[in-house]
Amino acid sequence: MALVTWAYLVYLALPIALLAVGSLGESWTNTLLPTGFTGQWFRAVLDDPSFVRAFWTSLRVTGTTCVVAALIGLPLAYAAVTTGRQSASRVVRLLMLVPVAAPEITLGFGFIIAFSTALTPWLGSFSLLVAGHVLLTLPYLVATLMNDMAALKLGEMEAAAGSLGAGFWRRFFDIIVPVSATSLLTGLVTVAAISIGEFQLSNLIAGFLDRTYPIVLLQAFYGATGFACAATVILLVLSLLTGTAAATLSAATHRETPA
Amino acid sequence: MSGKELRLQGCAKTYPDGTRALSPVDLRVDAGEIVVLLGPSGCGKTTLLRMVAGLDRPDEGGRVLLDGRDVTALPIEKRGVGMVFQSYALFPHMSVAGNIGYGLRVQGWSRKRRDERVAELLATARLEEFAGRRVDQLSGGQRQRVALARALAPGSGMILLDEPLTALDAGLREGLRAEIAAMIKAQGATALYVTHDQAEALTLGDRLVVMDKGRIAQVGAPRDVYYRPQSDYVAGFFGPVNRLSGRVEHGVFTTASGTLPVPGRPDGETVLAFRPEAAIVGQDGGLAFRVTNALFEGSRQRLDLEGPAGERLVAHAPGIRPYSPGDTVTIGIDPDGLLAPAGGADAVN
Repeated sequence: MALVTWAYLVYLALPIALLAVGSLGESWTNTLLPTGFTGQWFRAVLDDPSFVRAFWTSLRVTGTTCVVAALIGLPLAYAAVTTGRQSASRVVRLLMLVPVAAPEITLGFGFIIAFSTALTPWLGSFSLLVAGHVLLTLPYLVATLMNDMAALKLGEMEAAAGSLGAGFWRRFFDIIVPVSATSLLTGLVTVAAISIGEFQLSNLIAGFLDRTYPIVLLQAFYGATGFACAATVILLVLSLLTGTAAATLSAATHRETPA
Repeated sequence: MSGKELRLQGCAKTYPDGTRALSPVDLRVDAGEIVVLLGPSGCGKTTLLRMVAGLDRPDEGGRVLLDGRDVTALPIEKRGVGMVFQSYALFPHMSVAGNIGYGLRVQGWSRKRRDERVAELLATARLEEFAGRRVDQLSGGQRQRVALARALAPGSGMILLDEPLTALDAGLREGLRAEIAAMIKAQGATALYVTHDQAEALTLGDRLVVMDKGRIAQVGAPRDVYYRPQSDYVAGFFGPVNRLSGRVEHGVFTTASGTLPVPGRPDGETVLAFRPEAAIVGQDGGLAFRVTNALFEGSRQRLDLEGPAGERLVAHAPGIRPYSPGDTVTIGIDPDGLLAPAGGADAVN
C-alpha cells in the first residue's frame, strides 16, 4: 500500500520536477538532464511582450470571472438552499452538472456557433471569454456554497434572525453574507484556480488580443525547451498558490461548521 | 412583560402535490402557558409550529391570531415570536452576548437598555462567564440555553421551540427540561413546544396536544392525557397499556387468572386497562401469572407475564428482587392506576 502511494507521488512529482530543472538548465538537447545553470529563460519570458500581455489578460479574466461568479453564485445557491422545496434544489444541482460533465470542446464549439451570428457577434470578445469561464467555474462555486449553507443550516439561522425582527435585507447583511463569507472565499479560490489554467474553451473562443496565458504557453513549446519550461513553471506556481489557498480556506470553513 | 395569547382557527395545510400535512386545527394557547405539540414524525406538529412562526401559510380560511390580532398574512419578522431550533441556529460570527442581544439591536433598543437586558438573560441562563465566548466554544446544552435566551430577549411574549433537546444526549436532556421550563416561566412567555419525546412533553407542558396523522388526537393536562387517554393511539403513545377482560360482580373482578376487589366498579362484563407501573407485583391474593421474560433496567425491571388463558401483561417491579422466566408471581392492580378514559371504559378496548 505504502509502495503504491510512493509510486504515485513520484509519478505525480516527476514531470513537475523536470519542468523546474529544465527551466533553470542552460541547454537540454539529447541528454537525460540539462547542463549548466541559468536564470536566462525566466528573464526571456518576462521580456516577451506576448507572454506579459497574456499573463495580465489571464489575471483580468480570472478576476472578472470571480466577481461575476460571486454575484450570480451567492444568490443562486442561497435561493436553492432556502426555497424549502427539495425539487428546486435538485434542479439547480442537476443543471450545475452540465458544464462539468460536458466535454469543454463541445461547449467551445457551441459558443462558436452561437456567438458568430449577425445577431450575436461576440465571438472573440473579452466579455464572452469571461462568460465562458463563469459557465465552467460556477458549478464548483455553487456546489461549495450550497453544501456549506446546508451544513450550517443557514435557513434556520435566517428564520431565527427573522423571528427576532430582522427583515430580508437586514438578514442578508447581518447573517447570510458573514456566515457564507468563508465558504464564498473558498469557492472563489477554486474558481480562480480553474480559470487561470483553463485552456480548451479559451483557445477556441478568445480573440487574438485577449489570449490567456495557457494559450500563449502552447506556442512556447515550438521554441527552446528551457523557455517553455520556465513559462510553464510560472503558471504552475500561480495555480499551486491558488490551489493551496483553496484547500486552507476549505479546512477553515469546515472547522466552523457546528457539530 | 406578559405572554401573548395564541389562537389557531381552522388552520389546515395542503401541499401543492395534494398531500394533506394538516387537517383543519383549532387550538387556543393561553397567555403564559406552555403547550407541547407531541407526536411521531410526520404528524403535522412542525407544520403547525411553522404556521405560527410565519414560515408556512395555512390553507385558505385558516387564521392565526396573537392577542386577538390576525397575523396570518404577516411574515416572520413582523410577528414577534422567538424561535428555538434543534440545531440551535446560533450566529457563528457573534459572541454569546452578541447572539442574545441581536434581536434588541434589530429592534433599536438603546445601548444601555440592551446591555442590561443581555446581562439579565445571561444570569437567567447561567451563562455570565461565557458572555464574550464564541458560540462554537460552548457545549450543546449551553448553546441551547443561549438560543433560548436570544429568543426570549426581546420580550415578545411568544416562544416557539422545535425539538430543542433532541440533539442532546439523554442525561443532559433531563436536566435541561426543567431549566427550559423555568426560563420560559420566569420571563412570563407563552410557549409552543414541539417534541416527539413523551417524557419531555409530560415534564414540560402545562397542556399537551397529542397529534396523529395531521389531526389533534387529544388535548389535555399531562396527567389527563396519560391516565385518561381518549383513544388507543393516545394510550399507546405513552407506553404499553395492559388490558384484562373479565366480569365484575358486587365489587369483585373475576378473570381467568383469579379475582381482585374493584370497589365501586359497576357490575357486568368489563375490561381493566392499566399501565405497567400500576401492576403490583407480589401482592397477596392477586392474580396468578407466569413470568415469560424479565428485563433488568436498574431501578426497575420489566416483566413480561402470561396468564392461564394466554392473556399477556407487562408489569414493572422494583429492580432489587431478581425474577426469571418460569417464575410464578401474583399481580394486584393499584385502583388509582386504572385508566379511566373520558369516553368511557370501552374506548380503551
